[in-house]
Amino acid sequence: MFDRLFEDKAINRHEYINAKWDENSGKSPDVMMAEMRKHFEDNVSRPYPVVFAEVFRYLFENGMLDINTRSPFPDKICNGVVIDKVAHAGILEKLSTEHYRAVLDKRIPGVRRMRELCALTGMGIPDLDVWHAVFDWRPVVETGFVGLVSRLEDAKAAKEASGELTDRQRVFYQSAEIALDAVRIYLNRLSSACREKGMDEQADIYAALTERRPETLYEVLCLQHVMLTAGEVARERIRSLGSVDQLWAPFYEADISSGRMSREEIKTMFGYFLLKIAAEERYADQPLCIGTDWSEDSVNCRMILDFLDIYQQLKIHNPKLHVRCSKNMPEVILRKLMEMTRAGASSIILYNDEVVFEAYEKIGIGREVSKNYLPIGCNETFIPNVEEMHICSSWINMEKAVEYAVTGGEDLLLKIYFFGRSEEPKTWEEFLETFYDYLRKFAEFTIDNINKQAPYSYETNPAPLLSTTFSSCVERGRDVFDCGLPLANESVKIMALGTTVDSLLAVKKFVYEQKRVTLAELHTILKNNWRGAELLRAEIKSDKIKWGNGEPEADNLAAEIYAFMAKQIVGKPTANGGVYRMGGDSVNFAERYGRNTGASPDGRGARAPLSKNIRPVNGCEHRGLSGLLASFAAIDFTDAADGAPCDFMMHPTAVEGEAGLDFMCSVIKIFFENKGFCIQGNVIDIETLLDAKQNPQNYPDLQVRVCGWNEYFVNMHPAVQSDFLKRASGGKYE
Amino acid sequence: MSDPRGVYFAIKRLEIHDGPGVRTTLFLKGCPLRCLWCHNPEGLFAPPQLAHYSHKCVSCGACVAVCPNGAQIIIDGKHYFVRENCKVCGKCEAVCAEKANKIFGEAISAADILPELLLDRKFYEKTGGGVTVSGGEPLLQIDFLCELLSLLKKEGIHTAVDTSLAVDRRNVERAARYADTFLCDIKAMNSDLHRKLTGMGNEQIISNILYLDSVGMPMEIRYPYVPGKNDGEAEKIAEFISGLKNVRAVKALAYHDLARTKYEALGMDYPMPETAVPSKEELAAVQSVLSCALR
Repeated sequence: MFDRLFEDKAINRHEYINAKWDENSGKSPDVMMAEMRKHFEDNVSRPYPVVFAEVFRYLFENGMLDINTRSPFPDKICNGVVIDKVAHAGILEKLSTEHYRAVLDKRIPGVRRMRELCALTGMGIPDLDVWHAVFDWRPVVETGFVGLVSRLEDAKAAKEASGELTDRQRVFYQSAEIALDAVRIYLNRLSSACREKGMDEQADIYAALTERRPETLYEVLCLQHVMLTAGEVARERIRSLGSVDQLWAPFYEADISSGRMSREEIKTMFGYFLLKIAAEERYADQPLCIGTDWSEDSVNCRMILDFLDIYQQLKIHNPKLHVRCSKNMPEVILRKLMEMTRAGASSIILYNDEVVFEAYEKIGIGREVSKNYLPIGCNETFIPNVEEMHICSSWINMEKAVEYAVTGGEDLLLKIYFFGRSEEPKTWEEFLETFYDYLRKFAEFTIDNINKQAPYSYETNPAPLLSTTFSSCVERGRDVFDCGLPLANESVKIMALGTTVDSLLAVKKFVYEQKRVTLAELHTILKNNWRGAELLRAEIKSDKIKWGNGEPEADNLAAEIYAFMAKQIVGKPTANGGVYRMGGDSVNFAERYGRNTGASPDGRGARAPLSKNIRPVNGCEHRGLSGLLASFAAIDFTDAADGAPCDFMMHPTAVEGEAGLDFMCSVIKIFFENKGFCIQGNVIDIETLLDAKQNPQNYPDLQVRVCGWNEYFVNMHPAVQSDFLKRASGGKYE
Repeated sequence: MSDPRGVYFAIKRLEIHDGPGVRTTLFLKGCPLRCLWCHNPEGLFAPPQLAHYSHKCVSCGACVAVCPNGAQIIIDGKHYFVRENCKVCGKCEAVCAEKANKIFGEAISAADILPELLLDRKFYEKTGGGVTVSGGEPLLQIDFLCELLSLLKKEGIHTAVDTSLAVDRRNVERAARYADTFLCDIKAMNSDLHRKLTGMGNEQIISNILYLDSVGMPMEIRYPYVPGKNDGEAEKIAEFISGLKNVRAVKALAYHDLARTKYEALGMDYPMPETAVPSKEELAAVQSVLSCALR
């Protein structure tokens, strides 16, 4: 077995960026791109899912390999991948994006212009989520690649025998067969390449995985990584490695009881696996889930403690750990997770099972089904084999509704009336009603536009490999994005709750209660970006009643807005036979959408960042974590449990020693008792961040939690760095 | 008779260093000592004070527009704060977007401040924590303190008093009726040295500690370790503590110079000469000397 784990850590880092492709093993990316573009053009009359699958198979037949002889997970293939800060943009990514645009232009003329306009207003962009997918890992691990193949063959044969096989289903089965064939080709190529490098054990395993299910934990990990790569090449972004405690525990136990491997050897193997994932640096980090079974003294528990141990020793932040928490979660696990968080592991996100279950109940999904939910992406959830994975279909910037209520519908920056005009509200109550009217319009507009695009999901974005893992798709003979799963759910993200609530309260106090300015005057002030009204602006910004401080007035308003939006969105039918879900923004769009949003009544300047997801405005948390927890407790997350976490920051000295660990554990317990949805902690030393900003060369590995994932601090845009520093220091530094 | 009012200058939440468990610490204004290294200069004097942080000021003029007393002025585009004219009305604090003006000191009744202190009740329950009243010197505001401790006791909240004990015995006796524990500083066992460092001898402090020990009050003794000033006192303090029965913990607290900015903002001279901040190792060595006293 490999035993150079820590010695190899540095070598393994950034292995994709520095990949040394074996040029004799395949074709160059340029050649592959040219050939496949021609293949696309030559086959426009054939069914797109099949052509798509053929390109996928071609890439595995022809991509160059780079076998890493220093890792037990040596597999790596070049699909023309360009690692940038957006995504692993491979050949299929590029070609299918072109196809996607062409289809939309043909089917829904004007839709892309509409989206551009939405982006310009900063309101939000109704879209189709092509960024998130997850295999149903259970059949992959339990029955192996061969199990997927035989299940597909059986289903197709049954349909053929009964005479029910439609043309559409025939296309699906054909594309799925080609996709699985691609994986078989890849496994065989890996086997041969490993043999050439003298890695006989790995060569045997890759070959065996084409013929039988995995029998050891090592084989499971090898297969999972191959499938993960396949998903990446197929642009099916696999946003979780599954509930790994559940998937791995039987193999872990068998390996140890048979004497095949010791616990220490397995820990080392986990280490190599983790380093492999960390080195790939997938956009938004690669999640995995633990915590589906916390039975006392369970194998899962022992294995997870070992797993966490090595994760901590490696000091990595990727993969990110989604932890499902329930009442029977052992204290030892919680303490371990908090100890890791305290040591700087900010990629640990804890989910409250109970709230997730209740939220699913509200859209008609019982606990017997939702108990299998899987956290995916940043901080979202989905139920394998039940729900589609459109977890980020659109965003709604709620501050724009305040803007339009002030201006009578005029967009401050674009000078247009995109959502119609409104009468000037004479009272606070009328103002609030106008605000809600705009929110209602935003929600209707968003749902309407997603519904227009959703019917073309399959045509634009087939997912043949992904579909082979879901029994429902295989039995129905339908792709995941062609109603292959029982519920084609979509999720909408709301954002800028802090800016919205603080702005509303400012309007209430300074316009309607104190009558310091009229609404028309405020409109002019915002249009002038506060020029000439600096005093009023300062007074508004200094006002203590802000969201995030446990102030009842602000908290009640925030809770009302969250519930209002949930009522407009959650449970509404989707175009493909599902329902809408909702959550807070989990991507850091506060800056992006802020750039297109005019000045707001809370004192924010035009084009400045908005408050992040459902968090308070940066620098306005005068009661610290106490206030934050009290405010989050006001929101009923069972109305919509998806998306944004409650992320908190602590200075290392505030959490030192056993007392500090007790404190951190109590934060989590109290948050969950308050029925919070999910939570994530950062222990940050401001001095280090300040120094890193000044001397980036000294901190190449310093990572911070941006929103749904980690970023290297020194690579962040200076404005984002400043925003992060402002938040971490309570407004003291920027 | 109306409720006694207290003047406080800060509330710190989710503290783990001011007594058992997670705590909220309320800082009261006014102190009889003048320790050279004092970290909370805003707590020395009882009346409210305005701190002006000149490094944050952008000379925007917002404070000048609202100041009724000519304390905030601008000359040639540059802002000046004239402390002598300031009546601490707080108007400049309300309009300063840069948070360059801050009032330290607000008068409140115990009932008014109670909800603020109960905000973290769940943390107290989970960790065996509670509320600590610190300062300044909390025992100088004894009526307010007793009222507050009594209200907290009724709520079932654990209370600690963080004190210099440089006060009249009667105040200590009254507070001891309500408080669950005391956190007491010993800066030096040598009284002359103590006077040199703090402006007062330590006789009353030592006597009050002995009193608290005699009535069975659980105590945590704290030794502010200031290199070059009181660094020879650890053994003597340890020896004294070893004769006490109710000391539950003893801690060495490291000197730091982070309060310099506050002195400047308050228009006060920083009395401490240039002194090196002790290293972790140095502090650990002092702590081990003190810890021997509890064995």
